[in-house]
Amino acid sequence: MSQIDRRTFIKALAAASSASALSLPSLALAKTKAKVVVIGGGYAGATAAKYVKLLDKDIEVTLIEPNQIYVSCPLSNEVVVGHRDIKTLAVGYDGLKKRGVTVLHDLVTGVDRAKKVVSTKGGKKLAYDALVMSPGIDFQYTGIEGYTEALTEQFPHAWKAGPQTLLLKKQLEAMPDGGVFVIVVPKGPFRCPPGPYERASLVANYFQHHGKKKSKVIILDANDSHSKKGLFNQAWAKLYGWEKEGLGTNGMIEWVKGAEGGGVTKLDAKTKTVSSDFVDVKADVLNIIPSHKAGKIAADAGLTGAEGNNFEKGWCKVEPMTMASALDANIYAIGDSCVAGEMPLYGNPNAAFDMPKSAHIAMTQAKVAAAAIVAKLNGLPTPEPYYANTCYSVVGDDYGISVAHLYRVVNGTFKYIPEGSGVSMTTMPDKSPVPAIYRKLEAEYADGWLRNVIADAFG
Amino acid sequence: MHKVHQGIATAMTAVGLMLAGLAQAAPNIEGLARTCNNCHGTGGVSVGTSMPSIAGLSEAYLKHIMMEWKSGARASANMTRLIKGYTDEEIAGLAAYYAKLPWTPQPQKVGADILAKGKEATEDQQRPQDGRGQRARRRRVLRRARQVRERA
Ligand SMILES: Cc1cc2nc3c(=O)[nH]c(=O)nc-3n(C[C@H](O)[C@H](O)[C@H](O)COP(=O)(O)OP(=O)(O)OC[C@H]3O[C@@H](n4cnc5c(N)ncnc54)[C@H](O)[C@@H]3O)c2cc1C
Repeated sequence: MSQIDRRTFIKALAAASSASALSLPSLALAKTKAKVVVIGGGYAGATAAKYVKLLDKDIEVTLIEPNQIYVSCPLSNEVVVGHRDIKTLAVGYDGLKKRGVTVLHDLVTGVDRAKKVVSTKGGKKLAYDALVMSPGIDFQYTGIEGYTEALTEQFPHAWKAGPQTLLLKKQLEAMPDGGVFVIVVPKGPFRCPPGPYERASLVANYFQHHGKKKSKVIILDANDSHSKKGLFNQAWAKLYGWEKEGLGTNGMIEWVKGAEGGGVTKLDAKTKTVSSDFVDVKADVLNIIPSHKAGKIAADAGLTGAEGNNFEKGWCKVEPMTMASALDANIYAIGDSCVAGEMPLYGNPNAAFDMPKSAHIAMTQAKVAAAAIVAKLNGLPTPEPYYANTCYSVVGDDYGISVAHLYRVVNGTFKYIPEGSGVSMTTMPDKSPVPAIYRKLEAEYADGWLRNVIADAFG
Repeated sequence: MHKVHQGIATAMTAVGLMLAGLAQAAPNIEGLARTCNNCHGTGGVSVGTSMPSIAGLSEAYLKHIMMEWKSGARASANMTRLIKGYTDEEIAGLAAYYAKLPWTPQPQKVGADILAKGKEATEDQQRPQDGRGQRARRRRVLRRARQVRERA
């Protein structure tokens, strides 16, 4: 398969250029093999490593990742409420090794961009021809007075899957009926835009099934709108008695937007109380999601923007055709650590399109980068890129919803394609209610999607 | 000096346009197909039971359903959205691409009780096809289906 893939890939590239297939510089014939180093073995990095190998097995690929086992964030909200075993989210790196990727369990501590060498905590130095920067996100514990990194042991974020997910699960289980489960949502961009609202839905579902029907989920949101809002509100009304926005409603879920005091600025850890300029909310379980920035190594390598708005500062800007960093043509910045557009829903009404931070988009970015790297190392023109996204959210028993996004690159800039994008229907085209089978299918697709993305990235 | 630079820039733009034109004439089907792999599996072979494998399906069938999703003639919980962003040429290209890939069965882990039920049902079908036997078999099969439904 890889051999055929490589041949057809290189042939296809050659056909699109004026070069003849015979005169192509071949890496197979070159004396030294080209080297690709990948930083971070999440959805983005694993996919990039695999697809570079699939497209050209002669390239030497080394993936550097500190952990032996990766735990998927997607569908980890199901673990919190006991619908899924965390083992189904765990995957190792044997699949990549079988494909010929060298996997080094180590932490990258430095990138010498002039010499094109990365160094690791373990004292290794690795030279690269192309570097893939995919360290995901790091949290910023600033902006909430009284909140520190150490307090995540008491107030879990569960926004990196693993022990934090299980800690939040334990706290939910121990919460008495009539308790208040508070989710603090930071200003965007954060990864998985629908994630906090999926979590709220599943926690309410847990209350229903575990004799805690008097309990509440309160979402304190620094933003004024959110992903799939119409669909979430519809599902909440149907399943959890949702009435309207704001505090003090009768439903199980309450949502407070930024403009109405949703942006938390203060924490009193002793009384488990979070406050904004407008409200104070006392929690029984307090789930604070800290604000995000690109993984530390991306900033240390000087690839992140130092100024500008929320979307420029702290993230890696990229060239749309290739996913190469706007600041270094030899480094490809993919996944959560890059910025590829702005989300209009985070309060920028002028944003022309939105490329969310999701595992799905991280993988399509990785595939674009892999093809661009292989083309470049073989002296061929850049192939046309495609970016797509699908995010499923499971919001209740047999009830799933989704959003799809499609992007093309036109005249060197990202272009959101509205015809190929959109959310699940809220009504049928004739305005009749959506039959339950549609929601059930999407809940099932969420599981099929998870199995396939894990296999496509790590298998 | 300035003029020279402009000249180079113009020449480069011309080459750029030529390449862009070529790219438009022949869409990068393999690149597009790689995005499908996220949900339908590497090379179109799905390991998630709720998602269909698409490698090795008939080209005519693949093209037909995609075009029906695009026109709105056929319903789907999800595919009707993404597909509307693809050109007819891209859809035809995807159908041809996946049809050429080999159909690869994916063994699924199944419980022993379900396997036993399947075995019983197939043995049933291998009995002689006389009228009485057939009617009795039909009754048995219907009864079993009812039991399964009630239990589920
Ligand atoms: C609750 C929740 C639900 C979600 N649900 C979905 C969903 O349903 N669908 C979806 O598409 N997305 C979902 N997401 C988003 C998804 O998890 C991320 O978008 C995705 O993980 C991004 O992949 P990545 O590879 O960029 O980053 P990560 O997955 O975070 O991987 C980064 C990796 O880099 C490694 N690393 C960091 N620094 C270094 C270094 N210096 N040296 C070496 N390695 C390093 C880390 O150890 C890590 O393994 C969800 C997220 C959350 C939190």
